[in-house]
Amino acid sequence: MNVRSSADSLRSAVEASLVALACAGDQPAFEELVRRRQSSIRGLQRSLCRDTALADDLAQETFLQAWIHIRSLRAPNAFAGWLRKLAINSWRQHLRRQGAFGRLAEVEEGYLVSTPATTEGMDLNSALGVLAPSVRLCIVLSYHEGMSHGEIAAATQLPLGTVKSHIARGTARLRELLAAYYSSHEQPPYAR
Amino acid sequence: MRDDQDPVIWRLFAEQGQALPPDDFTLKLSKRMHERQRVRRAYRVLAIAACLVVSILSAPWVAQFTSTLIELTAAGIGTIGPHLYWPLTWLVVAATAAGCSPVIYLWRTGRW
Repeated sequence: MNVRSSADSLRSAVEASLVALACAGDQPAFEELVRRRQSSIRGLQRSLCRDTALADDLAQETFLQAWIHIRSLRAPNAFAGWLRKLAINSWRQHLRRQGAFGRLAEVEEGYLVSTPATTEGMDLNSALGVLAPSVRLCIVLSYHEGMSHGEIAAATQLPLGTVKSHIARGTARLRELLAAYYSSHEQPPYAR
Repeated sequence: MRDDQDPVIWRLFAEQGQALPPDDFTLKLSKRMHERQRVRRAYRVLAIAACLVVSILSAPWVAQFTSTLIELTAAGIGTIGPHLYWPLTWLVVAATAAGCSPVIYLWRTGRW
């Protein structure tokens, strides 16, 4: 199919139509999908890796993978979830690449938890950095993406029980680290 | 917010989750996509050239092998009876079609 659409009609098109066009190889349609979804994917990556430049790089990798594999997407309505899975995978791959030089097994098992010298004045990003990667992933998907435990289990391929325990453990740890926000109503000191 | 979520943590995430402007993100991505397509095209040309060289070099052996095979098949069928020559024709047609099918598939699906 050789369909080329004007920029205006693409802007007003529903997402499922854009996905169908992108599946047929329409690059402008895919670029419109990127424009609509980039903020969400970049935000997810920023919460996961806490480094703006790296997060944007991983988000680009996510969209590049989406462009390469979009023909394999069967249901156009499932695009958002599929893209989120790709984002999670690209972040995990990044962790594995790091793990080749570090402690991959510990990272994968979720045991690697750094201990901050002080928790005073800690913002959300710093507090997330203290959590083990798999715990952080579950917390971010739950709070940032608003996903249910079942959806997180499906997206991360972790057992439901593990997801629940990660979220409970992560929430308890964040409560400790962000204790200042519970005692006062001051605005959080977002550094990044 | 769901009942099982902590309200303070939820509020912190909500305040952090502001919309990010596309800036040069989409531009950089477009460049990466074009670069990838360019590399893929180059690989495709290389692969076609390699296939051509291999096919040219192996053509005499392939031709000899195919002719021997057809001769033997024809001889085999010929011994059964002259009315069975039509199947041999269909065999050749089917073999030709099967040989062309990958090209037809790539052309029809637009993956060429």
